[in-house]
Amino acid sequence: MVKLIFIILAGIGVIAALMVVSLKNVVHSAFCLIITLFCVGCIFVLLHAEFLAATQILIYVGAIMVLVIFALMLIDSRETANDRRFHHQSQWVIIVGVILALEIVIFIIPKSKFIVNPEKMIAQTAEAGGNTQLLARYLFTDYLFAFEFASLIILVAVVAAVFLGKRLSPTGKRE
Amino acid sequence: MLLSGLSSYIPVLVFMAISGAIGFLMLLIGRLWRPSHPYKEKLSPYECGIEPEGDAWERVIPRYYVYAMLFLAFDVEALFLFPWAIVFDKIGWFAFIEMVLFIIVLLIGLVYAWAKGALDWRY
Amino acid sequence: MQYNFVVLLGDIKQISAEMVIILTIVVIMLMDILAPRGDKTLLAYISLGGTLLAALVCCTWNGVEQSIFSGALVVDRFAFFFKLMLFTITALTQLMSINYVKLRNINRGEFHALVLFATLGMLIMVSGADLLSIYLGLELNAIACCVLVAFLRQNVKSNEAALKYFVLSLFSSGILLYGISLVYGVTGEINIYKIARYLSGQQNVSHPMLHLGLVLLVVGFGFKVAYVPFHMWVPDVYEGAPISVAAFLSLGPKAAGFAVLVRIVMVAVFTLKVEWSILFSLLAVVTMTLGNLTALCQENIRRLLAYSGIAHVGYMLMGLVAAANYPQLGITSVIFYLLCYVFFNIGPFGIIILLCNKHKICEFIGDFDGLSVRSPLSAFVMTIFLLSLAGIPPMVGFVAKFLIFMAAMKAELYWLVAIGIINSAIAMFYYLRIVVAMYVRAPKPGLKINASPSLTIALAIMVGFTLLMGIYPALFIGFARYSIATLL
Repeated sequence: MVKLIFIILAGIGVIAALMVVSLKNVVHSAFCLIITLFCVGCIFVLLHAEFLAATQILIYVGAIMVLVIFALMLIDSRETANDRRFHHQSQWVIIVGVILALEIVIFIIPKSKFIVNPEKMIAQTAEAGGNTQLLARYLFTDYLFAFEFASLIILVAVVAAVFLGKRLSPTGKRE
Repeated sequence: MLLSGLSSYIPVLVFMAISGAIGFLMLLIGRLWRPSHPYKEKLSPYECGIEPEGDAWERVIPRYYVYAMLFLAFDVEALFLFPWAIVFDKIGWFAFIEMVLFIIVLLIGLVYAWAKGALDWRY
Repeated sequence: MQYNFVVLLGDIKQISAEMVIILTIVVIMLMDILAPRGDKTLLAYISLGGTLLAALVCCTWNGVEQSIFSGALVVDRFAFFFKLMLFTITALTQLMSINYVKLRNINRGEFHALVLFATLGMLIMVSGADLLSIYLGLELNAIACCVLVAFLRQNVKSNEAALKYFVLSLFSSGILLYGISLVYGVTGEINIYKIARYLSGQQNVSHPMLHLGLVLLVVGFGFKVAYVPFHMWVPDVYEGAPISVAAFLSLGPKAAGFAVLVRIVMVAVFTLKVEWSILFSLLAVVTMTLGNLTALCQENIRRLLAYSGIAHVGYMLMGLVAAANYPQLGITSVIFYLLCYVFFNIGPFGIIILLCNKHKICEFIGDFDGLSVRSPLSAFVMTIFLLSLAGIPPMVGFVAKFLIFMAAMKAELYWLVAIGIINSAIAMFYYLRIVVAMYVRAPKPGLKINASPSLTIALAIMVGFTLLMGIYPALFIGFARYSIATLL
């Protein structure tokens, strides 16, 4: 059952992702991207990663997509609609990419085993009061440094956005 | 089995299905019922008579982008509040101070953006 | 693990140098807001002061090695060595920037804050003990550097360079994250020391997924360190970025990237040394050969320095290959190379700043024609840097290269040494070409020296250390050896 749901979600996600790169209209591409991101969020739910799923919906489907749409509004979509979608090297890229992907699927994955045992981990997290609970406890104790440091990354992103987004007046001086 | 915890998501699915169906039905019923006599004036964006200039899909100023970027930054901040709220009663003051530090750093960012005029709407 | 305020305060005390940097950033940003129209030169001095204070605080480290923040960071001699190096790089960049930013009309508070942000990211990278903190440090550094590259906002080249840098650093961090996730999937750990412990306990570490993870990590850091298939951004960024930022980028991320690479390959996956030594030896050959051959046909000195920097990374990778069999010797040679590289590679950028004025940047080899007549001293200083870069015997560049070749000889990598020596000979040509231009050609009109006290101090420090390290390398080699003693 879970496998079936996964295959449906993953299928929709992959098809939408292919449409993102192949559609002529960039706005349609953006909406396909929303579908892809949403499917990934649903797959996180299937994996019992509820917090990650919420992150995916809130940050990616919410904020990042707003950003993407605004970015599309900066460009003239009528001009880009007539551009060639792919570079002339695309067939080589596809060949090499398919070979690499097959290599991973045929040679690497069958010979590998992740030491993480999903069923055992789900049982453990359920015992500790759920995934989010456990994640939060780690985040605010063992991974405290990473958490606090993330605030600095957000700060530098704010500085970058404000600085680079500032309008230059016609004389080149900043307002 | 892996599916065990997922049954609680069935209401979410039902909710999504119903809301989707309502939207679809409203459009469908409207399409079936409404009379359809399109003519040129009726189809123009402003029926009051102003001729629209150019396409609606115009290039906009980058200022929108800065807003979206700021929204994203503070959205990430808000996201961290959820796990914090869950474990606050277990970790207590320690978590509180961590969060205060986190928010102070972001407040500096907000003050900075404010003082630099990134929040004013000027052309 | 129970975490409480006492432990936390103890940990914060261990990163007091980083805290000084953070506080300086906050002070700069607040002062920038409070005096929006004023002259920002004061902020430049504050940021320089903050760097020096942080370096001083860093020096008060009592030598006790420990991991802090539940293993997120580690304070050890290796990190100490690199932190001092990064403070030196930052201080030199700031000294070179003080006058240059005024000249190019980019004297803004953000510039000084972002240089410190970039430094902070690198400080975390070099002392990161788990892949998560290393990634966060890298990301902070990448965002800050990207804005610094784009700082000349009217300049098309600066914008183009920033876009390239941004897109490639995004891709590289994506690849890096994928690699980290595979390594985590196989070993179940993200802490470097725990990964090492897990792998040493395994019977068969030859795990294809782990190999793939390692390759992806090497690719991800490849963009920072700039070895060959991942070097594309370097020439454009050096050409487009403000010169002092290019000088900063030519060393800071490279040094931090090497520190992380050394920590990962020597500690975390040392059990896979056969695999990664083959990988790095191939990268080394391609990197130095391509770097040197492309540098031969460059007319723009900034692009030339970019390709020569790529070639130097190739030599350093050779030391890393040798470290698979002789860890002490190999790593000592690599980090000694990086240390002296700080002085003689930032130097030429300083000379370019010295020659530029409001309207013109002297960045072509032709612009250096007859510099010895116009300004004998600056021509002499440039010659010292170039001879060091070329690795001509009395200079420190020779000692550094000699150490690397010696380590490679000892590891019986004769073919690699042969290629390295041929490459050094090729490199001699394009460095000497600039020397010939300065001393033999007739002077060009309009060449003027635009010296400022801060730039003069920076150049004096760099020349002083280049000469000092050439005359008395044993002191610095000893320091390098001391700093890796506990790592391996």
